[in-house]
Amino acid sequence: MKPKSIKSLLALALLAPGALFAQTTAKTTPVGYVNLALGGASSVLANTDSYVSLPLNNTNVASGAVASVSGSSITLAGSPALGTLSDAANPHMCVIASGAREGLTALITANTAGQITISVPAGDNLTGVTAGDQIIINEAWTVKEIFGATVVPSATQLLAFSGTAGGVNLAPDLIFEWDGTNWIDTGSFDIADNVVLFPSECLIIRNSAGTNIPAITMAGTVPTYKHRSVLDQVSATQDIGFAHTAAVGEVIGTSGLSSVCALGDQLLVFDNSVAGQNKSASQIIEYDGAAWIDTNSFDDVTATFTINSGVGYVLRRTGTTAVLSDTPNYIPSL
Amino acid sequence: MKLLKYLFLIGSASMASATITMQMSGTSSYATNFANGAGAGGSTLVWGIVIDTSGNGFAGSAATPYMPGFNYAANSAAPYVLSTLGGGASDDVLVLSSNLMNLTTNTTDSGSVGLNRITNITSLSYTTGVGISAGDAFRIIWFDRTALTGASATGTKYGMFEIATTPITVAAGTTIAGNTLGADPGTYNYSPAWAGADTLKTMSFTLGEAVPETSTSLLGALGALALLRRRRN
Repeated sequence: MKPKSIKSLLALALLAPGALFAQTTAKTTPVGYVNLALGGASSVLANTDSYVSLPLNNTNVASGAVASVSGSSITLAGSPALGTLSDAANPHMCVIASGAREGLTALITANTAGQITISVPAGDNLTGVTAGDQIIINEAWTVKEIFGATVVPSATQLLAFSGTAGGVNLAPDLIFEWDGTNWIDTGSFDIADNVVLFPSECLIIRNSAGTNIPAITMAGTVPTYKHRSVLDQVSATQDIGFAHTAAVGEVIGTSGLSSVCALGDQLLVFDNSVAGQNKSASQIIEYDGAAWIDTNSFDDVTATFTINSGVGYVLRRTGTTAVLSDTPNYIPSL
Repeated sequence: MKLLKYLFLIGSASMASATITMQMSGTSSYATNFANGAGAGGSTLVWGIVIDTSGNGFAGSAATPYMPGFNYAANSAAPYVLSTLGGGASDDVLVLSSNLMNLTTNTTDSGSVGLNRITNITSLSYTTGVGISAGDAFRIIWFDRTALTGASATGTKYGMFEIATTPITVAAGTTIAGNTLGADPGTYNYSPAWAGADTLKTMSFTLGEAVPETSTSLLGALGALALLRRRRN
């Protein structure tokens, strides 16, 4: 994939829409927009699978600080007067934005005016989250919302990985299909408009129409904290839908992957500018224990290969479940 | 030394394991009208596919039905080699969907009554050592059972239906016979095969119990009639 395929069109430092809890330092939340990297002409090519991800957060609704943690419940400092955050029709996510678990992103399952209960991702925990750690609450991205104003043809599909299947070369096991009015989960035939999508997921937009789908522009808030994701290892060698949640691309050597990968682990790259469905990887970047090697050229690309923002990848990894934590390179400049 | 290391890397890259996902119903073409044991709809039945792994036809028939011995827990990750009554192990492999049949009619259905829709089979692996491969023929199989739990038992009715061999496009650029498996890995949409109204499909088989073929039954009845007539004479 060509590095220039990402058109990162950040419009930083605009406004701070979220309410601020007491006892916090007021600061703006940068917002922006990113055209998902969809190949030629910034569109989802006809009859093509495009690998994408969520580079930005959805609308920020509140931010503040932790007062205390008990189990999976977090009491917030001050008197935030939170509204309903766990409505299935309008789900919200919590991000721990500083401290030992910086970047941990979890769905809010219940809340009161001053406390939230979250679904802690399997493989991660709230150990070390203490009073004063920053909290950001955003609306969750859902199947319906990521397409924004883009009109897609009926039968367009969003394919995703549940993460429950072990092995490699895994087919997506979740299929959401646009029926012209709603997104439908073809496994249950329930309406899936409000199914929550997570920031580090690899998603595949399957366009089965004979015409391109126009550019999909994602508008949202820029992550100003570490990327953090659980790399679930269902089997000894596992393909994991992977994305680096950041507003701009990250060079693989500074992405944090080296710290959670072993000799022979691979990042599979899919070329969204090439038409076709069920495509195989166009590029394989393999870790030799010290450097990342492009297996096409056998060049060391540790400092040159960019994990693009808004693009989905497959990480082929050995070992046990691990947590990837990385500070995106742009954060110090914010 | 460096060359050896890279040769190792190349070797480690070729791992034999993959899955496919099969979508039976889409949002405009639905695979419906799979009746329960009483010949009616309205039941969220267990369903899956039977794969003929050797290309020699399906071993299961009314006279030599498949035997119980498998569990109804979704076994897409562990396909089950079926046996037949009196025939022992066959080369037919059962893969159950992790989804029960669906009764949702939130969109216009292609069936006359829209009953009992089959949905997806996910994470089907070809590398589990039972001989499944791309191009194998498969049949839809469904059971008179509404829970993906417990062991199968003799006497349970089931039905089988084979999609026509007419080629369908299951993914852009991939057209295969409608009753065959695609290459792995891949996500394949078989819903075009179900376009239009679907006929009612009833259960004609019973696990572990032979059901006389219709023609055999008819001959038996005729024979009995002949005997009665001779006695009257």
